[in-house]
Amino acid sequence: MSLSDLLAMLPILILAFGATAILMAGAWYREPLPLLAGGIVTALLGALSAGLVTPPVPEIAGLFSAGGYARFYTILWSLLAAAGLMTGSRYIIEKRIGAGEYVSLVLYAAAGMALLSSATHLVGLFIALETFTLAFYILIASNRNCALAAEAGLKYLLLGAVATGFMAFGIALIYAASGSLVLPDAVMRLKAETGELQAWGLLGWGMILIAVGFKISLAPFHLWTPDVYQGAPAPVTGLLATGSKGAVVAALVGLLAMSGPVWNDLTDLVWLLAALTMLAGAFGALGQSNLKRLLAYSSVTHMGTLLVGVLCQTSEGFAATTFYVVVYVVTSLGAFAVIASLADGRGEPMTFDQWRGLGYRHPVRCGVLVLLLLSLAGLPATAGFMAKFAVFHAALQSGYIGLLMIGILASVISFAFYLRVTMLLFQPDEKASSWHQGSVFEHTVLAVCSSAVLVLGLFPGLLFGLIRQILP
Amino acid sequence: MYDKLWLIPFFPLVGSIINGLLGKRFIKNEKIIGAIGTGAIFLSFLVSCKFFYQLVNDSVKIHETVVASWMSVGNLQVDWGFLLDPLSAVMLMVVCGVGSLIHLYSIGYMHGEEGFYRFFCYMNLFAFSMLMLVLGNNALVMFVGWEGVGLCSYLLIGYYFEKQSAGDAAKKAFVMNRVGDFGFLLGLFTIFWTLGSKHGVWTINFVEISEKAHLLSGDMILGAGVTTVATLCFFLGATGKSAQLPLFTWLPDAMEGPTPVSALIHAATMVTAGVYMIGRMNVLFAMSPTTMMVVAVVGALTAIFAATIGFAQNDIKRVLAYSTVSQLGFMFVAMGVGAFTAGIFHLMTHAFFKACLFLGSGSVIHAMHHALHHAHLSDDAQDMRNMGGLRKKMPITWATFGISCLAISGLPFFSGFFSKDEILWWTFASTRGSKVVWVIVVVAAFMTAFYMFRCLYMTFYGEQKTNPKAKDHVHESPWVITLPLVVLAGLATVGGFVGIPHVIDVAHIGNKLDQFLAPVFHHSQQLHNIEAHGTASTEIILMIFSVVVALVGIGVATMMYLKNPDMPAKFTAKFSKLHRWVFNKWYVDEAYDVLFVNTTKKLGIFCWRGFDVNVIDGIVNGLAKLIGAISTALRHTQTGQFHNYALTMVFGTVVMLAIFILN
Repeated sequence: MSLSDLLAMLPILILAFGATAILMAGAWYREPLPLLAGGIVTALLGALSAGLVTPPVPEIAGLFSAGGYARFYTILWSLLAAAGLMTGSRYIIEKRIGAGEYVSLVLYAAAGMALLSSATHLVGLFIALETFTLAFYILIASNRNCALAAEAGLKYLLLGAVATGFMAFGIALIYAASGSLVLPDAVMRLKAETGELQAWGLLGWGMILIAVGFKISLAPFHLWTPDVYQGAPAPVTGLLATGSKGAVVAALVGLLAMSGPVWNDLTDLVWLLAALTMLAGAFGALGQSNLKRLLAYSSVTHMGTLLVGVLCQTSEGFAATTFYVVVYVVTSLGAFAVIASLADGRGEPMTFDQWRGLGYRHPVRCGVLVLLLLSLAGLPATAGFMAKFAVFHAALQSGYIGLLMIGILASVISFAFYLRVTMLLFQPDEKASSWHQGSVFEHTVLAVCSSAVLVLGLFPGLLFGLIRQILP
Repeated sequence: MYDKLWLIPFFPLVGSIINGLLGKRFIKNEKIIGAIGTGAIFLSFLVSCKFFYQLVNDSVKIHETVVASWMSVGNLQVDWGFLLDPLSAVMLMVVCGVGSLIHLYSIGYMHGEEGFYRFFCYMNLFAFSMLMLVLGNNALVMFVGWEGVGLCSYLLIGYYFEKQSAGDAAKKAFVMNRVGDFGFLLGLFTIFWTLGSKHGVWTINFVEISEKAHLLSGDMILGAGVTTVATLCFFLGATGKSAQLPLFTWLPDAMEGPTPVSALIHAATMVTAGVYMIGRMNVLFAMSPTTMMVVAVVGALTAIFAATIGFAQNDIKRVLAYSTVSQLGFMFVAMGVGAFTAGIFHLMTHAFFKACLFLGSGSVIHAMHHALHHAHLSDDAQDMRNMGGLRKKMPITWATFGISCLAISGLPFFSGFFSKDEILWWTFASTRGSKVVWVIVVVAAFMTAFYMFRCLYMTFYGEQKTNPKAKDHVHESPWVITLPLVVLAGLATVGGFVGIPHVIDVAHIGNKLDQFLAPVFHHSQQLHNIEAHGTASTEIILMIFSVVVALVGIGVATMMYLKNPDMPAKFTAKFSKLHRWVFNKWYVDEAYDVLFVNTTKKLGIFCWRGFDVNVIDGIVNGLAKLIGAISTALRHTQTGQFHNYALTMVFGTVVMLAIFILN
């Protein structure tokens, strides 16, 4: 590993070493605020270095890419970590959670996500995936006094272990079939193979798809999602719902964009997964009376829609998917940040009874929540609309009319539950109680998220132009 | 030269916007609001005078100016264009002149009304729309005005919207007008499409249509000539707007609006739009003798039919309303027999005397209302049975009302005499005329004289039948009300001299109006050989005859209502059945209710309850229920148990593998 390799890895190094340093410091120094600030600064530094330091090499040690696509996601996940720390600040202070551990785990997760989005080797992919999954196991259960959180952590761990098994098995099969672990060679060679070997390779892909299906909760591997989202504290859920899923999708898109269409034999399967996921999410959300569970199902639907974009396997589809990931991350993070910002000694407002009439107590944040929910629903003039439109347009171009219809049906259904929450917030209710006023950190995150939703909704070209440049 | 024509509709539009936006919150002061409203239309009047004068002295009589392009879609090019020719010039003078007077009058009449600003906003908006209608150089700009006046009519009839009857009347007027508008549009489409597709002339410009109309002469549509079909459609539009059979029933109800509205919109201007429209398209109408005959017959029937109803009404404004319907019938007779100039002439004189009559009735109602209000009585201020003997109390109103009655009855040499006589002469002698129609119209003229003098006597003569408590509080109205009365009465007296018939033109002044309008009408009249021919002696005999008829009408009224006040009661008792029919307007409203309103309502209720609620809502709600049920069923998969989740994962894997292997 040469110096130029190290320079190319600078953002990851900043995140990882910064995390380690904060972990160490946390062992002696228990004041949460400086540790948090250190974490936020580290994350921002990581983002800055990824954006400003031009990498001298395109690839590091044959494991990770240092190209524009990888940089793009490194910035996004670093910023996400910063936002996650900001929304989590009050939580760790009030629940007396070890700030050193929490901050470092978030930074490790960000490093893992950044690595995953830039993996060019199946082993690198595996390592990166496990890095942040491991961090999340702990983060979910970070509040050891909360039974729900512990249950959620355990569920995620056990099912995650199963998924990891599938992942490893899938990688092994691909290696067996192609004789390579390097991406996209392994995939390209697979295309050239015929007969039995190709079948093994495809089976390997199937296994990887199952693991991916668990990570980004595609139906029927999504059942853990609502339970875990409900149990985990909102700041962590915000990261889990956005980063852990977005990074996997990013890796998938990066891989497919590099290797060209390799899924031709798997399209039926992916088609089915996407359709099932969109419908399962929409129908599942309809019956919910808990905002966090509702958002969990909403995320399921969105993952199904993302899969439609991936399935297209055209540059338009990839661009749309990438745009969708960014929009989804911003919107979903904002929604969970609203919940986190309202949390007080009673916990987080979750059930619809708790939310009823809250729009009159906290008009600004409930207004932001409405905006974000409408963006999730895909109302025109919000970023969510442009994202959905781009993906559906790509699907139309690729001829997936049936899937498009299902996607639109799911969108229509999803309007019902998003609007129900919107209505709920502004139903006059005398019993509606006041919640926490929120910290400066939390309000900053909300301001950034809501303005991003509006800007991307009105000027989507800004981001699309960038995405077209960086897609491999 | 004429490129500033847009100024004419511009002023009222600005006035309307100012009063509409600022009147309630910022201006508030009645005097300023009234001044803005009246000033706006008066400015239009001044500009109109200037252009009128300019046109009279101009050798070229037809001028078009285009302000801006409106739309350009395929073959359709529409401009915001204005057309000034003698016809629109005469209309401009009537609309702006009478309009200004009525605006002035309204300041006094509407004094203290809630929503004073609203009234002037609508009135100016009306003036704007009417001027667009008159000035538009193509059918679409005219249609904008056509719909605009309909809207303003609706708004102003419903001015006292808190009254159920006013709201209903407004709705009725609007719906009936829409029926007519439908005809107007169909006619327009027919002409546009036939000219375009068959002859390559895609236009809705009036001048171009008139020039190219001859191309249509051989074209057939639906087994009839294109011009016949199109002009019949246009005429349907005219019957709606001008309250002719069968679409006349809205006009009497429209009297729910304030009296100045009745005078301006429902007597002098808007309701004459149908007549104007036929004049504007006279080339097309002249091409179809069938349509012309229909127009004449419908006009004549309306004239006599409405006159009969006028016999039995006791509400002073309703008498005038039926009289208006009847007089509009006269105008349509004129258009139908090819006497276009006479039609426009009667339109003008009618605007003078009918506006004066309405404003006079308004003055009476105003006074009565105040007197009754003062005495805390709830008697009907419009019922003539509560009036009588007001001659002494309201001398100016009486004098002007009387003059107008003489004019409408057609006594020489009041304005109505000239115009009505010209219509009668053409009906008798025109190549498109008919003796039967002439007889009907003469009878209608007799009835007109009768019911107008009945109205005059019941209101101003005899004993005052007002409740004694209010009796002495009836006073003459202030100058803003009486001044317009005097001016209009003056016009009603001398206005006819612009159209002196040739036979009695001893001073050789000539028929000025006929000469002025010649560039618009003579071409089509000559082309289709439309003229009135007969000897001078015949004309003079007919003229004397019609005067005698009017005098007999007045005489009968004098006998019944002035000399023998008991006679009408005996009369009604003797012919009680007939009286009931006439009093109830021949039950036309009831018949329409049964035939159209109720069937439409039933259809609507079927569409609502039968189709919308059961079928559409059923589908929508059913879908929502289905989706909800699916959602509930899916919730059962969410057990919260880890091993169930793992099992589902494995199950999913197995299914995936199965699909994979099958592939």
